Amino acid sequence: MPAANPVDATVFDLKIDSASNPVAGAEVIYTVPANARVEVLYAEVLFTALVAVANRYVFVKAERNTIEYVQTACTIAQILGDSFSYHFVAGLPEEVDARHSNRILVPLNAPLILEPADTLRIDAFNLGANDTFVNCRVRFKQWIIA
Amino acid sequence: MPQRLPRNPVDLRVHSLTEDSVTGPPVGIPRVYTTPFFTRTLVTALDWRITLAAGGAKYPRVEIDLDGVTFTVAEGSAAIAAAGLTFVSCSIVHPSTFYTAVEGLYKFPLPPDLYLDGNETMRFHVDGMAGGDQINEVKLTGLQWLNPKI
Repeated sequence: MPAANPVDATVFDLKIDSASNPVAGAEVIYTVPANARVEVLYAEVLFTALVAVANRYVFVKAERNTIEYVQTACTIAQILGDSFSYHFVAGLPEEVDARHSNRILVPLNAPLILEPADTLRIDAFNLGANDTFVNCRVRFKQWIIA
Repeated sequence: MPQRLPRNPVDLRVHSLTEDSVTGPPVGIPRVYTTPFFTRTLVTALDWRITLAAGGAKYPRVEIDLDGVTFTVAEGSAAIAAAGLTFVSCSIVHPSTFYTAVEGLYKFPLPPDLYLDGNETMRFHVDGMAGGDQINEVKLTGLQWLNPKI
């Protein structure tokens, strides 16, 4: 059997999934299904900063077997009172500062492929105890592993 | 038994090159394109026109709307400062935003894996859009497969 064409429509599914909203001061954790391998295309989350802390930068990391890998960090610091929607986009070559409408587009590694039970975590350097992440959604390609 | 050969990626039975367009949107609202049922589309380039009644802090933006969730997948980082017509080119090969107000040319990058399944929607928008602004003649270029799984 020849190898399947990776862009063939029968090879993968396109999916959207949500992560539970964490308590204030905690990171978002999205866990890959146990029977699937995924490639992250986009991740979106709304972050509100309620504490004055310097050098607060939202970032994405992946975790495999308890080892965490930082994937990418936004270069724009978020200050007290800000509420921005972060759109992490795989393969986008430049960060886009759209804070004028409360959004920031952040490049994400491409391809960012995660194995079953791996986690995608969205966090912030210098995260404050009352800062909140909500509405995390992930769009990805999914391959079911038999 | 005939030998099975790898699929030729330029074979039209594997995918077709697609060019689709949307025209005539109402003034003052974003334009929405919905993909055909039973297809999967990989968008590689978009061309469109923006006609602004007034320039200012206005940025071309591409979103996808999926199951009520909006992902902003691309946005230009330079404000369109001039009123009038701007030719926008949005492609996976543009490395960064480029804008020249004199000629009205605007380029910005698309993500490389912009897949849409059947009946999913893409929205063309201008951040900061006002009532007199208009989006015209959107053209999508990409690859499209019939998708029997949908």
